[in-house]
Amino acid sequence: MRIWKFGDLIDTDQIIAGTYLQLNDPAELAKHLFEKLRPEMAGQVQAGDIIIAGRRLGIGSSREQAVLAIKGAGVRLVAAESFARIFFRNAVNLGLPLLEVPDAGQIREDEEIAISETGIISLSSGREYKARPLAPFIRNITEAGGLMAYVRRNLVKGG
Amino acid sequence: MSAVTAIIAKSLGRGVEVGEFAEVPVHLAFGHDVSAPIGVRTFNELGTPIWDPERVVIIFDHFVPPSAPAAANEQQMLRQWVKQQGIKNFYDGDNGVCHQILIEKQLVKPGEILVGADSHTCSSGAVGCLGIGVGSTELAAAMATGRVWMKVPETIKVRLQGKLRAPASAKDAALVLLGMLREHPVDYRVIEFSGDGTLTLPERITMANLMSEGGAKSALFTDDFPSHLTYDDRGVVLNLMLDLDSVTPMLAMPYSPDNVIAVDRLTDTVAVQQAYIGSCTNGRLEDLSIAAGILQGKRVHPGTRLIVAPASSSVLIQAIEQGIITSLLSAGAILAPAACGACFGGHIGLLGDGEVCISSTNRNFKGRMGSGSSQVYLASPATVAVSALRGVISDPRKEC
Repeated sequence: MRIWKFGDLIDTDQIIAGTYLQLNDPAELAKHLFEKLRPEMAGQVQAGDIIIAGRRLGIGSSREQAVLAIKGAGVRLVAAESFARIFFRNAVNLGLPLLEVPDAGQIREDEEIAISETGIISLSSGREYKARPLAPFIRNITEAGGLMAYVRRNLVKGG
Repeated sequence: MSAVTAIIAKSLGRGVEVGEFAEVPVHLAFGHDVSAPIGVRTFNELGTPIWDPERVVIIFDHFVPPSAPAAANEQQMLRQWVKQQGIKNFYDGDNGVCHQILIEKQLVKPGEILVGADSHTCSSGAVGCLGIGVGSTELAAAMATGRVWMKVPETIKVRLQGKLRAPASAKDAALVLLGMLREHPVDYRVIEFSGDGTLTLPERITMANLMSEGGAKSALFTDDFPSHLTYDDRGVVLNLMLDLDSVTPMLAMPYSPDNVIAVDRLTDTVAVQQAYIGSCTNGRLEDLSIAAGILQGKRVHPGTRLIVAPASSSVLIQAIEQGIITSLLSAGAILAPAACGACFGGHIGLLGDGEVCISSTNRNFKGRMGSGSSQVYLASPATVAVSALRGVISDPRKEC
C-alpha cells in the first residue's frame, strides 16, 4: 500500500482533465489520473493505495469521472483535511471511502500507516490522525454502499 | 428564515432548520452530454420508471459538435434514451450552453428547485431558482425519485449598492466578490443577493454563475421571488456589502478564480497567445456586443488568436442580425460553435505549452484549457477584447 500525497485546493481538472470526459469507463479514465500534476502516477498506482490531500480536495467541476478515475485505479481510501462539496457528494454516492482528517496535511507520503475505525494511525510514530465522523444521514448512504443502493432500498421500502 | 430555507421549506411542505438533512423534492433535473451518460446508465440499472419525463432536461453542450467518436457514441446513446423515455425537454447540439438554455427557454422559475449535473447549476439563481449542482449519480437518483438529499445551508447575504460604471461589468463585480469571500468560509453555504434592482438578467447570470468558484452551494437573486415566499435573515451567518460604483476592471490570475487583482496592476506585462469570449459566464449578446464595440474596424494582434463562442444559437442569430459577428470576424476573430468548447479544456481552442489565455470564462485552474504549462487569466469581455487587440493583458479604460 502506498500513499499518494497532494496539497491544498486540488481541483477536479487535475484529477481528470476535460479532454478525457468522453471516456466513461473507470479503467480508461484511470490511465489519465492526475496526468498533469503527477504524470508517473497512472503507471504506478496499485489497488489498495491511498490518496491523502490538504484543504478542499476536489474543487471545481462536478465531473463524476474524477471519482470514477480514482476508483478505476483501485484507490481504497481518500483522506483530506476537507472536501469540496460536489466531490464529497460524488464520492459518498459512488461508495468511495472518504475520511475527513483535519491533520491529514501532516501525514508524509513515505509514512507507514494503518486505517482504523476512527482515523489514520502512523505505524512509525504511533500517532492517530483522527477523522471527523460523518453525519448519520450520510453514513446511511455509505453503509448502504452508495446512493443507488440507498435509493433502491428506499424504493422497495416505499412499495 | 433565509431565502434558500424558504424555498426548501416550501418544497418539503414543512418547516426546516438550518443544518438539518432532508430529501427535498425538486421541480426539474438536468444533465448534459458529459454528465448524463453515466447518470443514464446508472438510472437504467435501477430498472424503475422515470419520475416525471416532463421535468427531466437533457442538453448537449460540452463536446458539441463531437470531438471524437467516443463523444458521438455517447450522444447517440442519449438521443435514443431520450426518445424511449419520452423526454420532450431535449436540446441537441444546435441549441447552446445548458445554463443559458435553462434560462432562455424559461425552464427555471423563481422559488423553484433545480438539480443539475453540472457545477454551474447555481447560474439559475439569477432568476431566483435554487440551482443545486451535483454529479451524475445524483441525476440518476433524482430521475428515479424526484428528490435530492441536502443539508439545509447557512446563508451569506451580499447587499449590492450603487450601479456598475462601464467598462466595469458584472464579471468584474463577481471577481471583486470572490476576492472578498476568500476571507470567509463559503463551502456549503448559499450566497443571497439583495438590492440587485440595478442589474440586468445577463449581469445576474454572470454573478450567480461565478459563486460556485468561491465554494458556494448556490447563489440566489431575490428580486423576482414570488410574493408568497416570505423570508428574513434567520440562517444568515455573514452580511457583506458590495459597492458596485467602486468596481473597476479586474483579473483572476492563475490558478484560482479568487486570485484577483485590478487589471491596471498587470496591464502591458503579460503577453497573450489566446483570447476567449464565451461560456455560461460571459457568452451572451451583451458580452459579444461589448467586444464588437471595442474591435470594430480594428485588427486582433498578430500574436493572438481570438475565439468567440456564443452562449446559444439564439444569441448567435441575434449577434448576426445586429452586425456584431461581422465586426468580430472582420477584426480577425474565430467563431466557435455555441457550446462549451475550450472553456473546460474539452476541444476547439486548447492551449499549447507555456501559452497564456485571457478568458471571459469561469475557471483558471492549472492546465484547465490545455497544456499543463499553459495559464489562464479570467476577465470581462471588455478586458478580453482590448487585450486581444494589443496582444498583452490590457485595461479596457486604456485608449486602443
